[in-house]
Amino acid sequence: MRLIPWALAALALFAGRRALASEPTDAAEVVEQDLATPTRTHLSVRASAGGSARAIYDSYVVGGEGDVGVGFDSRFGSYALVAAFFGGVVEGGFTAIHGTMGIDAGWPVGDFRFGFRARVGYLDVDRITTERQFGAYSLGLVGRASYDVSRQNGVAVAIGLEPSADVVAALGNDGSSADGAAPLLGGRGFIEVRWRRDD
Amino acid sequence: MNARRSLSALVVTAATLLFFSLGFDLDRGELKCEQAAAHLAECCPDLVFGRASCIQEGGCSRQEDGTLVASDESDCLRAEACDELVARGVCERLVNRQEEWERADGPPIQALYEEDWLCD
Repeated sequence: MRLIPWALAALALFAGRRALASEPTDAAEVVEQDLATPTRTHLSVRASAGGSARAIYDSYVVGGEGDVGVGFDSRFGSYALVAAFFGGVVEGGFTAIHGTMGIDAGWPVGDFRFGFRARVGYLDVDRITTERQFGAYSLGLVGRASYDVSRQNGVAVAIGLEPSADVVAALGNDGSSADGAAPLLGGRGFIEVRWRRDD
Repeated sequence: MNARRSLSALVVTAATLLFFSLGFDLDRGELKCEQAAAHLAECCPDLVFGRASCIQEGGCSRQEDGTLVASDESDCLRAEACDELVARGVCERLVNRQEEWERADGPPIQALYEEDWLCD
């Protein structure tokens, strides 16, 4: 099972090499939809999924995270409204889910893309002593760096990394740290598929 | 017009209550206690954490741990294997602490920490 993400990444990389290698060398022949930086503004839709590892207080939080976004690609950058969902476990075996909504901005540099996302969300962590759960609002900033392994017919496949820093609104005060807010820090590796409409 | 205002006020009040009742109860001490409870469940079959064992009262104004297992105790207990915990009598000591704490005229949890701290 652990080999599946690696196999997908290798497949994406292989497909990308073939796709990029087959691109015409004359830039004028490249389809507008497949330009790293389009000359016009296009509607774009994208989705990504990957493994996530973060820490809250001094406990790890690991799992999977996927997101879906709708926005536009322009010569001034890409912007999207993105909904993301994390599902995983907190150290000790407690189920955790984290749903977020955010605004994403990104800019291409050749086949690379760099950007960030500002997001708000809600973190929910299961407990074993009571059915009442830990619930907390979150406010975060995510960095994004990805590499386009393929751009063909308006569909791009990319692999990337996403460091993230969220602040979880925890009003509890344990006396030793006076923690009014808890940092949720970590990152995600992902595979992304983007579609750009031929406007 | 008045009915509309009342309805608006009701909606705003309900939304505010919902907002504050949902999203502010993550707590380091409670999480540590839950993690200790998960670990001890495998080691101490006679120890049953009650529903209130890992809930701290006091919110923002609280200055001390208020859970059955203190944060620092949780760290050291989780680092120990079951046979070590059983050999140190941690299970029985925690059962005693819980019984003392749940007594109506029992001492506060801080006194019980001081009386029998579970870590060396």
